[in-house]
Amino acid sequence: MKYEVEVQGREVSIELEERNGRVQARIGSRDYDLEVVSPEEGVYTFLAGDRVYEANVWASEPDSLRVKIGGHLFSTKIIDRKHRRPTIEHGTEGRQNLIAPMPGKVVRVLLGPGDEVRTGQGVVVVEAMKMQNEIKSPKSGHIVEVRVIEGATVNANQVLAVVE
Amino acid sequence: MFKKVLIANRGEIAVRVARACREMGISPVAVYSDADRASLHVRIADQAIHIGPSPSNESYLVIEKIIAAAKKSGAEAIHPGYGFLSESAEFAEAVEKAGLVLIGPPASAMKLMGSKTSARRTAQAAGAVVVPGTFSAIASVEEAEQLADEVGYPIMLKAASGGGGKGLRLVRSRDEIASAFSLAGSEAATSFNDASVYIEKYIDSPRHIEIQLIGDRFGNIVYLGERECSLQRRHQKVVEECPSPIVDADLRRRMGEAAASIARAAGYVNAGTIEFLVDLERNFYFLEMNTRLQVEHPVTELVTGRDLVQEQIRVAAGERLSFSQDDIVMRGAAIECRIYAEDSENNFLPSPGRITKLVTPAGPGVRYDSGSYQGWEVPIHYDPLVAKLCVWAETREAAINRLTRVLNEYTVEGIRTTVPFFRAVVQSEEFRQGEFDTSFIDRFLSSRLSKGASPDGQQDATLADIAVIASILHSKVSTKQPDATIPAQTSSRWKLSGRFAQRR
Repeated sequence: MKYEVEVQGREVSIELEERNGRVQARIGSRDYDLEVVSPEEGVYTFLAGDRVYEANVWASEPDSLRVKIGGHLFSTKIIDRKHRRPTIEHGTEGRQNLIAPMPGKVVRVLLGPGDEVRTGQGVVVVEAMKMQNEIKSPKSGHIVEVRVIEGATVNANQVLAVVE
Repeated sequence: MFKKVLIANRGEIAVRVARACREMGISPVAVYSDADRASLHVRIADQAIHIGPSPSNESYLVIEKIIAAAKKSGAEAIHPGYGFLSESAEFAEAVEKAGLVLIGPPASAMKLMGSKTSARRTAQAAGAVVVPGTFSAIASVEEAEQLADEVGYPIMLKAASGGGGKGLRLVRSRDEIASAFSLAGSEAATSFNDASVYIEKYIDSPRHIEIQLIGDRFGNIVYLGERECSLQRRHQKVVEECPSPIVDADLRRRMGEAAASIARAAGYVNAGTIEFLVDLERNFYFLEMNTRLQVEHPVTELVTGRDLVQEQIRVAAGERLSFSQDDIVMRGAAIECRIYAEDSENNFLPSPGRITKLVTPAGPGVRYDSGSYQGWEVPIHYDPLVAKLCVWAETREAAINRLTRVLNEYTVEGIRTTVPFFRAVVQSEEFRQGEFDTSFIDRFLSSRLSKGASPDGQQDATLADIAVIASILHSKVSTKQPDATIPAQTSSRWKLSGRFAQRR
């Protein structure tokens, strides 16, 4: 079966058949004939002839995976071809959301609705693990809306403010 | 000797102290906030006292709650660890007033050396060379601007009660000072309950080398060599080693004796550390004193073979130091990596959350100090240090090779950590040669960024292919959806072979 997989931001096509603990795969001009066992959940130990590769796989963000092989780390994503959506380019046109990059607590709101803002100017300060992080505006313009108040707890990826 | 000790801390250091207690036949008592109910330091204690809500200023930083917990548990002494109340003279006084023993220096020495401004005055009076700057706290932005002009840019704004890189800002020019003053002040207030900051001349490209010492109540002070702490990111230590690659026996003796005389002048008792900046000509300048156990104390323990926490407890109980200066022998080399819950591939953003899988390294020369475990949720409320990974070997080169091996064995899933960053650092030529200063990490990171290299460097095509194949297999197993092209039987037989392998 054919799959499209993104690895380290690069898309590759792969043909893969797997049965009875044996994987045959073709990526570009490279052919693989591997034995595989899964000794622990999320761990896949491959044998290519007598060469051993052990991969630890876990979900990181929704729909993306992290793979550790020895000291090497990879980010991967299985692309669903049937439901493929064009990737949205994150430009700086129009309204932009200011996103919390991690969970934490809002310790200061520096600007309010209507205030002018420059690219890279701090709008909200979020504290996590005792470090204060200024969340900066992605564009120059003005603040349309601030969706959090000081003292509020926020989740990762929560919209903090809107800039236009 | 004490029968019961309360540990007024959390995380890896609370676990470290509890282990020392166990080995000495002392019963360890934990304290915990709401967020730490299921934390490792609670699980390994004999008794655990709840001290309030998750924010540290409502729990771990509240003196009355800690004293009340000690009273309730019947502990005779309190070990403060590092951070939190460990350098609070007010706390030290409260402990004494409550008829308990603090495993740390007397309040008087803490006052003198704990505040960085008065420590600078004390060290200067004791004849040590100090970094140029102000000797008292700054009251306003206007005053900061005026004093910074006098000292000359670039300057450092530093929290007078600070430590661990918090409440610290580098200011390169006058237009940066107002925002830096307010950020440093408010960070200092949340982290140390004290907003006062002072100015120090920024010394470009120094090494940061510190001397570990310990004193007893009979006036004996012994120094236990140095630690090289120049590898810092945003003024926070990330890798420490013992010994320093640039310190020879003569420099070690001179720095050690200077440190001991400063400590003596301060009437110091128990474990403490004197930090120095060392320039290219190997001149050393007093920077500050840490009046507590340091995060990086394990590298000294590995090289000197002394247990600093047990020695702290013994001298606090009124015993003499169990060793003299002549007994201190440095053997081999040790390196520590501070594993933070920060995404080193994404600008070191905090990464709290659940540790879904944890495989810790083992084998010769490995020491792993941690307050975390598989399934534990790293809380958002505290310092992001999840573990300290240390290695020891006969030589520095062997220690680096061992560290490389150990970092590759280490697997943490669920949260992002600084492990990928350390894997890259141990491969860098400057680190291997020992040729670096406090600006090395920032230069290292920006050069990687401009080269566009992934944090793991060049990866070979086969490994990327294996990663792709493993991802496909994993998505089949984890979604457990019947896949059109893979018969259900194949998938379950494949799982069976996995279970079989597990039993062997």
